[in-house]
Amino acid sequence: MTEQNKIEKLPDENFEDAEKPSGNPQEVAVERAEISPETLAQERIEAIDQEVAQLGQEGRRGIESASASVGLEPAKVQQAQKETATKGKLEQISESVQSFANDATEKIKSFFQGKKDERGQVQKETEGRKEVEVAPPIKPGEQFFPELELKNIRSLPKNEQRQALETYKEKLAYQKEGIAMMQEGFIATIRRNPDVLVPELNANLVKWAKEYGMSNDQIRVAVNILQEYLTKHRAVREFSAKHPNDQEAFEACFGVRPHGKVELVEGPITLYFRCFDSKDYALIHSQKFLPSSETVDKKDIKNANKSAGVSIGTSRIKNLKGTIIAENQGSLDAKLDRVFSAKIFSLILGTHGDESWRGTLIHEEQHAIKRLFEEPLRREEFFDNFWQSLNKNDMDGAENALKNYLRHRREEGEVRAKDEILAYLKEGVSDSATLRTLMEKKGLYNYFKNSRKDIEDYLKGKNEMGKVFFQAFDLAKNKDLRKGILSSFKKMDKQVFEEEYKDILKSGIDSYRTLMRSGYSQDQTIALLINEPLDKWKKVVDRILEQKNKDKK
Amino acid sequence: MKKDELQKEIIEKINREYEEFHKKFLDLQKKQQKLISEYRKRLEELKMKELKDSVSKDL
Repeated sequence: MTEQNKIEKLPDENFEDAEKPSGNPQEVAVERAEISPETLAQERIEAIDQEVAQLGQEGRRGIESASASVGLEPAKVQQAQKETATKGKLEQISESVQSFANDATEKIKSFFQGKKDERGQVQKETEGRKEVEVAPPIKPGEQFFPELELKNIRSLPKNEQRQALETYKEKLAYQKEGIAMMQEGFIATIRRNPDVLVPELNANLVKWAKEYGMSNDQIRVAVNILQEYLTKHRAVREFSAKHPNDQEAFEACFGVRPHGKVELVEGPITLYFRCFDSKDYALIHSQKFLPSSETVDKKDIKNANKSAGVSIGTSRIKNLKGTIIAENQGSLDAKLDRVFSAKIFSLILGTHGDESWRGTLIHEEQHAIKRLFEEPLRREEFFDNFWQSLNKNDMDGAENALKNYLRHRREEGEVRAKDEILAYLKEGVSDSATLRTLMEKKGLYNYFKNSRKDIEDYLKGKNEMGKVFFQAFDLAKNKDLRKGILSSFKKMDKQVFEEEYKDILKSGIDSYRTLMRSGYSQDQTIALLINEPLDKWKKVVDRILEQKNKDKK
Repeated sequence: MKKDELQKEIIEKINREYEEFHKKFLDLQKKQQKLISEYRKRLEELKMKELKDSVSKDL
């Protein structure tokens, strides 16, 4: 049974059980047809790291929340801490779990010591056992530049191109997998120790770069990502240290005192505000905390209440841009939505019922991580072609240019939809529900509303640029041309923003599932796909699996 | 031993190791929850005392 089916087939009554602490890791283990020991070991080590971090965070938050909830003066709080020696005992617990974690991790690693080749394949357990030797497509120390290699292949004689292309594909898949594993490794290191120092991360980067033949450009991108991480992490740490009181932290961040209760959860690169009053959440959701913004109105609150959480890219404090995430505790609709997703989430990860907000946290944290791996938009502006085609009375050409332009405008939506797909599927939402939510015309995720209006206004001569266009082609008089342009726009709008977009979303979701079914962990799947444009996911997955199958043979 | 059997054996070992860790984790988690709840109880006692003191002062 696949993980997806397992989730979808669960009857409602099982949700009650899901709220209880998970006693047995097998309950939450994901059944897979095939999983390599290497992948499983990575997953288990990561799970161990997460549990260590979870315990530490639960301890810190437990103390903070208890201290704040009773409303005693700091001196009395300190008295209680001293009498119960809670902090010291929690530190002991933290040391114990870390020690158990180190032992378990070392033991798991020891199962592979001396038994792996460069591709991480298990070779032998003891002497005399059969060895499996697979040479990596990129030799250690060799650099592989995908763009340059492809250019070289095109210049080869035709009869040599096919073989060269095969080798290229093998190397590309190998390198992509390596980069994804590197990214996953960085995230695991950061989770284990958010205060990790630059030299440690750089040492890992050099190791990975050598092993997977990363080009100078790829190394530069990775260095930038690490730098970005450290800047954000420092900013988050400094902010939290400066504002230990959650209410004051809210005011420092958004310029006004919160209306209701607010809790702040600090992550490695995130400030997660749990808002218990809809107005506070709406302020963050609408981003009306920015200087010269209007005040939050009823419409903002209504809009905000459609969501359970939000990740925003803006901030009044420069270095905190992209770190702020917020949870809507105030709205009943949002609460139901959150509780539902958290129940599914707890079924997968075995978290506690009283920690249902973690479902929202993981969804929104995904956006923050994504921002670190921001991708540049790929296609060029085609608008000039539209003018040129109309100048030549080439309606097919104009329609084509319009189609390309709409596709270009769709890209931003694809980037956002990719975020949402990764976040929803990671949370455990079903494929059909994810697709339905993202395709809803009146829903939160209608990314093309503004694009449609902009282009329509332009073609109808309603905005500044449109007026120029309208006059240039004398469309006030030339009714046939005007009708022809609008009819082409409607046709292309339907094709690009509805039909093609739906196909891209469906194919993206299918690709994600295909990787999961092939034995990749959830985090590995996300790491493999997060840097790729949504419409390329299928191709990427096909290449990876093709390479994997070859290795098996 | 064939590659498949070898892999199966390693998978079992990894799972066993993880399960053992997870059990210890759950024990520690329970201990931690108990400590926090004792701490909260003590805070509440202090708060109650504070309230009682302020009421008796008013009287």
